[in-house]
Amino acid sequence: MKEQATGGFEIIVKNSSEEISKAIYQFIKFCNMQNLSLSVIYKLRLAMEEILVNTISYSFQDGNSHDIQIKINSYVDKVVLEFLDDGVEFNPLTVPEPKDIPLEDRKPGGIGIYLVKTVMDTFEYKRTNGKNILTISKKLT
Amino acid sequence: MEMSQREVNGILILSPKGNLDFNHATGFQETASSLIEKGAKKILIDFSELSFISSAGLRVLIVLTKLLQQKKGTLALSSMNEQIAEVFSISGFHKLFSIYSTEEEALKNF
Repeated sequence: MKEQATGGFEIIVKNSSEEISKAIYQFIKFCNMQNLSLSVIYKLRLAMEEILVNTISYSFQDGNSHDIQIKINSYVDKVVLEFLDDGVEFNPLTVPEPKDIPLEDRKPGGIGIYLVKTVMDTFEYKRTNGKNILTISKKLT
Repeated sequence: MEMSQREVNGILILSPKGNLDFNHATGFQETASSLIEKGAKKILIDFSELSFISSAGLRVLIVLTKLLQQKKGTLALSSMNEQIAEVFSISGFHKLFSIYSTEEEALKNF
């Protein structure tokens, strides 16, 4: 049986910095309504900023306006965030993460993705129907 | 971003307020870099009024560390909230910086 979400909503973000700030504000409001702990809210907020900044910086190279769709679902034991965009194919899991290169020498973008992988419990990417779909989740326990 | 500055025993203490995120990191970097260019060599960044930091903020801290190293200076961080300290710790970034739990402790170690 599919697990029932206890709360959920969707945000559409245009590819601009102002839109990221608005989306994060809406998201924090949602997290507070769900009574999530400060530690979980911090990590989810961090993941959201890193993924949106990364998508806007690397996925859209045609200068046109694009939408990033964010589906947020909270469950009894976890929160799941799904990011969908129609930008160029970009799999964050392929960003090199060589253990022998000091953190300070990692390429731009690398630190953000590294942080998301570190603070989230799952991190999955797929390319479907011309869209990048990134799904991350955080356990609540 | 809003930030107060003080000097104690030749150590410049910067207290940024709010979020050191993608929106505010560049402004903070410009202010702090210009203080280093003007001669500040010992800098303590007081995190007590900072509620959030993302990779954009971390990159600024790395840039400032390198700038100060070139000038034989020192950067330290203090008074992080529990959430920020946890992210520094689990991501391994705590190893890159001198981090103290209080301002007093940081000042003693310069």
